[in-house]
Amino acid sequence: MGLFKKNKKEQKPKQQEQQQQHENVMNGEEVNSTSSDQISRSLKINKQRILDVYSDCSDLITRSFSIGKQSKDNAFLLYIEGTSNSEELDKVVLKPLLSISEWDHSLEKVIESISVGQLKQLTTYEDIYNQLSNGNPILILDQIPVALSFGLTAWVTRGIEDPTSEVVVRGPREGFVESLRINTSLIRKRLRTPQLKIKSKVMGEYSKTQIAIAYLDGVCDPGLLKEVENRLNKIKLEGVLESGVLEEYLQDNRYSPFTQLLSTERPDTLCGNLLEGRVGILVEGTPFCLVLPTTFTAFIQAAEDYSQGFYITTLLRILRFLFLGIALLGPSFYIAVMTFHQEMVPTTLLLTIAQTREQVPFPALFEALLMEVTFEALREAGVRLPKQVGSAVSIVGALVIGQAAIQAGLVSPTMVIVVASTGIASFMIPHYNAAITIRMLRFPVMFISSFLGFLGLIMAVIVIIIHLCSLRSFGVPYLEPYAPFKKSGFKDSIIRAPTWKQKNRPHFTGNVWNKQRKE
Amino acid sequence: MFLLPYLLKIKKVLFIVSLFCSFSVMTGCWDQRELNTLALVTASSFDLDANNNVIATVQIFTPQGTSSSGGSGGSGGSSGTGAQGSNLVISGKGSTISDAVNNIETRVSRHLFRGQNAVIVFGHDFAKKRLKEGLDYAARFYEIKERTLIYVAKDHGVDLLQYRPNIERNSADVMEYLTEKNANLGMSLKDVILMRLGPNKPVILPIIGVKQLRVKGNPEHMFLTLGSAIFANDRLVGTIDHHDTYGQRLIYNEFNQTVFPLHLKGHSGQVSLNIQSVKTATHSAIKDGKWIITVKVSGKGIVFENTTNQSLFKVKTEHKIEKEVNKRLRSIIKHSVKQTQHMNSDVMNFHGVFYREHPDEYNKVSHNWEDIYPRIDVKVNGHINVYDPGMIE
Repeated sequence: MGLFKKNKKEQKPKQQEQQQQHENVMNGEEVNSTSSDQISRSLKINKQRILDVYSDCSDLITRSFSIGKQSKDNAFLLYIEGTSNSEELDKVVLKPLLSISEWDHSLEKVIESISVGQLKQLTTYEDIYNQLSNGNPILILDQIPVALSFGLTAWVTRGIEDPTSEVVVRGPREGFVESLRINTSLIRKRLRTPQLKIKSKVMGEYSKTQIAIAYLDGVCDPGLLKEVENRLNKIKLEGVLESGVLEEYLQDNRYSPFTQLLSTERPDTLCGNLLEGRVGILVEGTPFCLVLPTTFTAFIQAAEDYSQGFYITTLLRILRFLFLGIALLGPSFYIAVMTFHQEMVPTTLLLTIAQTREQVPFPALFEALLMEVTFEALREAGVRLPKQVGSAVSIVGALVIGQAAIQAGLVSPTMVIVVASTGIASFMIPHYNAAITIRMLRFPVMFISSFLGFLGLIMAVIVIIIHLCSLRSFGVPYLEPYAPFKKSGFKDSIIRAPTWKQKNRPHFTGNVWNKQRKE
Repeated sequence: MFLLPYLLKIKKVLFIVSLFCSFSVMTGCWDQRELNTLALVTASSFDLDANNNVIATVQIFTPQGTSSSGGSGGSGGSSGTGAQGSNLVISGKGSTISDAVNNIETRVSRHLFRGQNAVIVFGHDFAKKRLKEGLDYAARFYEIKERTLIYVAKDHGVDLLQYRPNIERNSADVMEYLTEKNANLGMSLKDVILMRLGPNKPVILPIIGVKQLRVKGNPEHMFLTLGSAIFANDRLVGTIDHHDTYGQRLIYNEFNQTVFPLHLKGHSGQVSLNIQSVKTATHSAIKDGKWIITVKVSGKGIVFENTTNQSLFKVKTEHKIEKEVNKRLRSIIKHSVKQTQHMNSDVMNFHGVFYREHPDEYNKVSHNWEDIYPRIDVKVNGHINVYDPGMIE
């Protein structure tokens, strides 16, 4: 063990070096890094070097051509197929350049003739690679140690569709897509103020994924923003393909089963959270963005809550909270009652249950486990199966969890009801990854209550509550409006006060000067 | 020294591992009982045989797992065993109650679970001689609930358990629901224990019996509530009939509703008056060394039937009816109090009323309440109003 420790120490300086490089990459767009190689004056050398780096990259399109009649092959255009708008490139770059008759190797003349809005001058190879990867075509000229990149990216993206994981009856139907720029535009569409800041960042050693940190300046706590950036800077990854990867790194308690960051694919949800002073993290290539800090209340908050009346929302939230309890404790309660506390059940019901359970050969725990595991398997299969065979699962599922299972003598009808209501209850939690936590915790509670009855059940609940109390999401207590009790925060928790009553921003906004919402 | 954090970690892991190891060894110790291993006792009774041995009897619900236990509700429960499942009545003999119960337990394949035991019936002889033992057992045994109803059988408790009712699943249900109806006396274990704390340990328990009736020549068994048994100092001191039990219920303010047929003075026929929402206020007074209890009864009266030729829409007739019903209630209360005074068992909780309103005087005489109680005067003020004379004249 001692040896391991020493090795770690030796590794440290290397890591620091890597980090430095990494930071340089992040600031790459603004150039002027000394560690990367400068572009040579000779086009031949430049061309050779780039083609070496991009050897075996069949999607790299290159074109050598001549500007003016004095010399041949003095310009070199390259881009990656499918990432750039080639038609536009032909029209606004190639055509004007080819029509130049006299060229004295001056950069100004070239720039003047190109009608592209976003034009950058690059001086290092590193920049060239970055711009190419981002889909910007590169033009390298002979005798000039500067490469030009044009903002002509055209990535293939999906159109904006309904967010499938958070469906609403009333409310906007736009969902985020896989393109970061479209996503930021969706936010900008809803918050048209220069105070909406979207900080950009590149992460991933190989993936070079664009990440945007969105927040409202003057509403968001600067300390929170600093902490977010701090934590993001510490993350070293080879690739960031989904925001879930970042989520695992950003959490305060990385071993907790409870999700401490909300992920949403709804721009309106994100904007609502930004207005409350939260920070959003958008990742290129995924429609799911992270919202932080997140508290336990997120388990019962749905996107629709703010567009419905406050009475119905309050009722629905209480219902969700109730079913949260059922989803967590339903089967455990059944097991505890059936194996320890038979005197608790009304006599008539117990006699009926006794009658139906008579032919079931398994103990209550096993019976419950059998059904719950089957249910989870069916759910998982339903998610993974291709749509064409999806209906088969539901038919088989209805047979497995239903009359057939009872007739086969495997389970009692009561158990079927318990499993079914637990299943429905777990789907009532508006956020999928929050629901998964509850579904997972159900199993240990079932085991404990089968050993210790209600004593175990209550013990498990106490342990969970203690854990929740100790959790923090970016410094905000996880159970915030409840414990510690915050009166103004309580207006948007298990109950939802009417919007005109919610005059204050949530507690974690930090700055006292901006506590009140603008009217 | 640098290994210390690792050692601490190992210690923690070892602790958790050892915890789980010990759990697995302790699996035999838990008091887990599957529902399939229980014999659900719905009612039990205690009797005495000729040699003064206790005969304990239990009524067990026998779940007959029907092959398709789905919607049909167990149509297999044939041979007149009721709609669902059937009952098994088993007896055991022993010198004490637990001995007798143990005797049953040795013969049943399952654990006798009495957490759902709704009714305990004391046989007449048992109640006469060993009421205290019965109550002690019921209160001490952890599975028996405080809400268990206590009955005294007309003769043998076994008869009641063996009785197969027509409507309910078993006789335990009948005995349980009987108390919720009408103005029947129902005493739970908790009520009995609380009442028994009074001077001379007064206890009142409902007597219940099965009687064979002949309806069109067919013998039919019927359940009958037959008044109440009065105990003092754990001895059966007498019985009062069903009608007189109303007096105790009224004074206890637990009178639900019932129908009184009333004769109106100077008219043939009767008026049947249902009285309900009855509220009773009991107060005490001590005047010139005389201990007086005043019972004020108020409530609503609804005319169910009128066989007189009087019009009930006349206020005069209504007043007549009210007068009659109040007279009736007064006589019931006075009669039942007189009877219990004769038996010298304060099941009316008069000592409680005096203790509440005249604590100093009561404390002086509480040790010889048996001298005071028979001499207490009872005054009854009836305030039953005819609330609804009906829609027709």
